Amino acid sequence: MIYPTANDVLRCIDQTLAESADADLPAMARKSALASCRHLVRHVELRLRLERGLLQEDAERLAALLPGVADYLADSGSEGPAQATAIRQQLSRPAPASDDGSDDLEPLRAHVLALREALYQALALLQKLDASRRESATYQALREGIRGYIREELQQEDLLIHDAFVGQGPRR
Amino acid sequence: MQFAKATLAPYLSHKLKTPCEILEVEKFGRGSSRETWFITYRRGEQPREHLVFRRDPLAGSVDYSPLEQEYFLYERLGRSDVPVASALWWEADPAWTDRPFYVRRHIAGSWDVPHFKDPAPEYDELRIRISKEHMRALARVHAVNWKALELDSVLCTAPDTSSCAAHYVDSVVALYESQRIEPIPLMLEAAEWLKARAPVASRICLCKGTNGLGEEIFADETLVAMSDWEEAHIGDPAADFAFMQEFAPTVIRDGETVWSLAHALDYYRSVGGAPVTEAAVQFYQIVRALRMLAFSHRAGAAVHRSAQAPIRQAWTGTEVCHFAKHILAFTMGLALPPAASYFAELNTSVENAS
Repeated sequence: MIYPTANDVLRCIDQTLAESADADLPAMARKSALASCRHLVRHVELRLRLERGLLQEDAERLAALLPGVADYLADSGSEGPAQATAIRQQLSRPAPASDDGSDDLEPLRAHVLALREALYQALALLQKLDASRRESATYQALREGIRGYIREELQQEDLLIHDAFVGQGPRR
Repeated sequence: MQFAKATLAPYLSHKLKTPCEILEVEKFGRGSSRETWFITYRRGEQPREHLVFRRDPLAGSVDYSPLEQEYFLYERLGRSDVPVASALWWEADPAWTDRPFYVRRHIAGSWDVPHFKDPAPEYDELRIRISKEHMRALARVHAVNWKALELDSVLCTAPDTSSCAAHYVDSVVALYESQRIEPIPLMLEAAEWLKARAPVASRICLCKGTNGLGEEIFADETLVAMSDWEEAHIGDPAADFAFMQEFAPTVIRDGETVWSLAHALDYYRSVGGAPVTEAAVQFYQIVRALRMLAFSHRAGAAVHRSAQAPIRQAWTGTEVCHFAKHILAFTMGLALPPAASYFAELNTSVENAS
């Protein structure tokens, strides 16, 4: 999960708190909004603590997965070679420094988004390949690798969600 | 335009061409896709009258279907035997409002059915009666002559029974793509998985989209108005049983199941409904998770784009989005199942928390 960012959520919480001060707001609406705010404050706390590391791990997994995808697409005809070139260009761009001391996650976020976009476009293309290619062991292994990435990305995301929300009361 | 007594009095007086006094203005607390306002007014010394105003939140709706489409549906369905509130007028005149809205007649009743959720066995018969009432209403929806009403001019429409499910899955992916700010490979993986298992529809009909407790208006035990048409489409009737929100309850008496989804489907068929299998319903439940991923991603995008986004969208764009991914991943064998209590927990609000 990249969007909404922690800053986006904080801005939304701030706006909600300001609106909750309105004396005309029905009590139940205020209670509901504040309940949501509390969950999201916990979520932001997790984002602040964990997100940089999770984004770095995400970038590393994508960087390990994409060269194989590019190699396969380069030999798959149609749009494959162009897609392979685009992936390789993306992979050649340096990752943002991991120890620059900055609190700004934007460069790292943009880097992961670009790599994941390359994977997304590649997956869309892989799904369009004809049946004979799709039945090959190489293709199946590649798709299994992508599914593995999806599985791990979900597990990562769970670290930002579970403790903030689950078992913490009504969400709204 | 602010919906307040001071602004609504001149507006309604202008619109109804008679002096109007605004007596009450209340924003409906439920629902997050659109704003619903209840307006009570009086023309001169006439009795009190009630209207419903609908508009998108300032940051845009969570749902993909435009407000104009909702108005169109209410207007057209008013010509059918489906119980809906009458659509009265559309307002986009910049002299009055910077945010379009439409007005419909208020139907007396409540989304809540007293004792429906009371687990005491004495209310089992009530649950079955409500379920049957809903099945009769769904059969009417599915019998609507959507071609004559030109509903296909605004709704996603399946081309035929065999490609119906795949078409609907593709339409959900297209909605996601239309607002995508983050690539989610799981969306493509799940869409492919679903299309490989797509059932053939028994017929192509108008589908309401979201159903069940909270989506319809009841007066006593009569369903007097069907609401929440944001996910309406023309496709497989099985899709309408995928999100029933307790209106196909399982009732067990003396060890025997006397009501369930299977019973509800049989009853629906007996009152003119289409053949629908439980397997097809299960398929569309997974499609709903795909749609949940699309609209929750849209909610997250709204929070990213606008400081005015309601807090509900921030929750939808985070936890609900993750939940949708989890359901899809579990279905495809990529994750363990969510805890059995999780869905109920997600649906608990401060209003209905015990």
